[in-house]
Amino acid sequence: MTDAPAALELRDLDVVYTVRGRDRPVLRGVSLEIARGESYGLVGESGCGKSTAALAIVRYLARNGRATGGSISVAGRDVLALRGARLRAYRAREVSMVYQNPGAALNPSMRIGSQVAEAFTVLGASRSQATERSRDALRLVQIADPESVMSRYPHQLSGGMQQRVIIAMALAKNPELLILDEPTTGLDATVEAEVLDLVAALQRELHTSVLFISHNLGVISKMCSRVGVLYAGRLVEEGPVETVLQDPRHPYTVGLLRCIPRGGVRKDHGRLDTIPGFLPSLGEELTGCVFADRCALADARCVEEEPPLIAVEAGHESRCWYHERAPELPREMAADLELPGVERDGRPLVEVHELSKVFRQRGHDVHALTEVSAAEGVS
Amino acid sequence: MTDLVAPSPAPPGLEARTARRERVRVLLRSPSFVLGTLVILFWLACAILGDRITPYDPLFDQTADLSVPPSSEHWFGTDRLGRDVFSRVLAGSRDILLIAPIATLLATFFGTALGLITGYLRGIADDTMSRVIDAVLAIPLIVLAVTVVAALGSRSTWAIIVVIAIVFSPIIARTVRAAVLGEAQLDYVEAARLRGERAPYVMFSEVLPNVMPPILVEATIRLGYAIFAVATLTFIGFGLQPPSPDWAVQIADNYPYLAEEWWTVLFPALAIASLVVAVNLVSDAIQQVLER
Repeated sequence: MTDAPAALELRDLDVVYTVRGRDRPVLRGVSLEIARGESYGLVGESGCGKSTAALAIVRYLARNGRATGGSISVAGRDVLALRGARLRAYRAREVSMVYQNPGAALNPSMRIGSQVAEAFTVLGASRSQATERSRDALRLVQIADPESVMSRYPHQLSGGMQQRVIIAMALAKNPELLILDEPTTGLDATVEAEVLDLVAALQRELHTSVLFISHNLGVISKMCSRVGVLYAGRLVEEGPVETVLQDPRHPYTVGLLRCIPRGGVRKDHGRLDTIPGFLPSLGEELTGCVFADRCALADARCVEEEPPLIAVEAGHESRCWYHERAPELPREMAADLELPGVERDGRPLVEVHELSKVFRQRGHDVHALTEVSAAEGVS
Repeated sequence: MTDLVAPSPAPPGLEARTARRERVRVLLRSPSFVLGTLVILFWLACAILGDRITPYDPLFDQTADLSVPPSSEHWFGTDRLGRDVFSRVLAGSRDILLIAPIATLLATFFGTALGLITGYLRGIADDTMSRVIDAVLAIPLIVLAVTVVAALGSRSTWAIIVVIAIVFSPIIARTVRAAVLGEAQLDYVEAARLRGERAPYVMFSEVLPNVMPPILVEATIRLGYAIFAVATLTFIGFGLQPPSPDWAVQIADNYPYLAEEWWTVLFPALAIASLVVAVNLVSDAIQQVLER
């Protein structure tokens, strides 16, 4: 472990997007390290820079984005220095990415078989080898009948199956680093659990290093051993998953955790919290702590001086001056929402009386609705 | 593993084939498609059979009757050299039905390549080529034709094909570029690039099959215009020359005598119109089916 380079190492990475001639920082000095075989979770709300980090690692930032400082290395290779053929080879062999929306990540006009085979031919396999290995790859992601799936088009598969195919393609090259960018956000809850179990099992089996990006702390706690919390492009807290979730030391993490419903917490003695305010807008100049605006603990020092990552204990760091007090962050409740009253005596807006709908498919009747009745009042 | 294959246990590939068959069925039910196809097939048959089905020889004077109006003996009358206009109209479809499709194919080929490159690569390549395309689009057909004649030093049939290909490829390129712009933003293109595929492979193997429908529609629309353009250029003296029975050559030959011998001009003109309208009917029907 000590002599082999880390699977991923970010050192003070700065990424900016140039918007109307001005550079707007999106990632500010992010440093993190993923050991070989480790699975690391990156959490944060939408717009905090999670996906930008992933795109920077595969060198696929939008045209107006670029890394202005720091370094990225994957398995000891300086990623920011790669050009042309070397960059292509790096993408082909070292990193893989799995996307949020599996439907869009597959070519709609190509059969699954040829798409998966491409992942092998690009590595230099012959056509027949590629087909053979595609079959194995699909079996690896627990697709029971690879032959039948390979002859289908993407739209003929369910979302969960599509995501399995993509995972199979991502693992084809046995990558140094597998990036999963919100891989289950586009899936149903039941399918989500299956896909997560599959990824966890494969990760144990293949010892793949994983960067798991999600806004869902529950998913992260299930999938990862270490977690980094990203806020406004800054890594604000990092540590082992259990420690960070049990004993969060940054007010943002504390707030984030209080937003999640948990078992054993009843609504009459504690509503879910919200985090007041909004993310700072893209590229805003921030002098002090990035979270100071929204933090109930913030004082003059927080606004003027940005805290460094402070070690809470070995392996657990928080970027907060008052990390001891963070767990006692004052609670912030959502205002009670008043539902508008429903007018019951007026004429119904929508009325459904014994509605049935039957689709005919290849000579069979498929009953979609059977005698549904309902009336909706005007509200 | 509850979530196996959706949505029904059809044998693989069948659904795609069913969808294609369904499209063909809708096309065959469309009156405009059927009418257009019948007219095109009629002219194609005339082009292939040529003087084997014409009542008189379309090239040589067979009768002593010069400039007779339409009658039961000469349905479309005869011209000033005594040639039967009906026979000449039937035989006149051959060249235009060869030249226009070749020119359209050439334009579609280059237009698609240009559109893929500009739409996919963007940046400087796109900016440069798009400005050149704008410039070419600004030049009228006839002016370009004269320029190409000067450059090639010939007014042959090939000159017509080159001129039409040059004028039409930028138009097709624009349509293809727009389609590619939308397509290239999708994740599967990003996924292919992150897999390490080269740009030409991504363009032609990943993106191209997904933009085929608009290309197909654009090509059929261009074919209609190409027929018109071939007729126009032939009329002003490019390509085919008398005594060819080509429709545009007939019109050019006879229009000075339009006042006395209207039939020598009207019937070939109607023939051109029927072919252009037929091609447009077909392209409309295809467009409707593909965009459903």
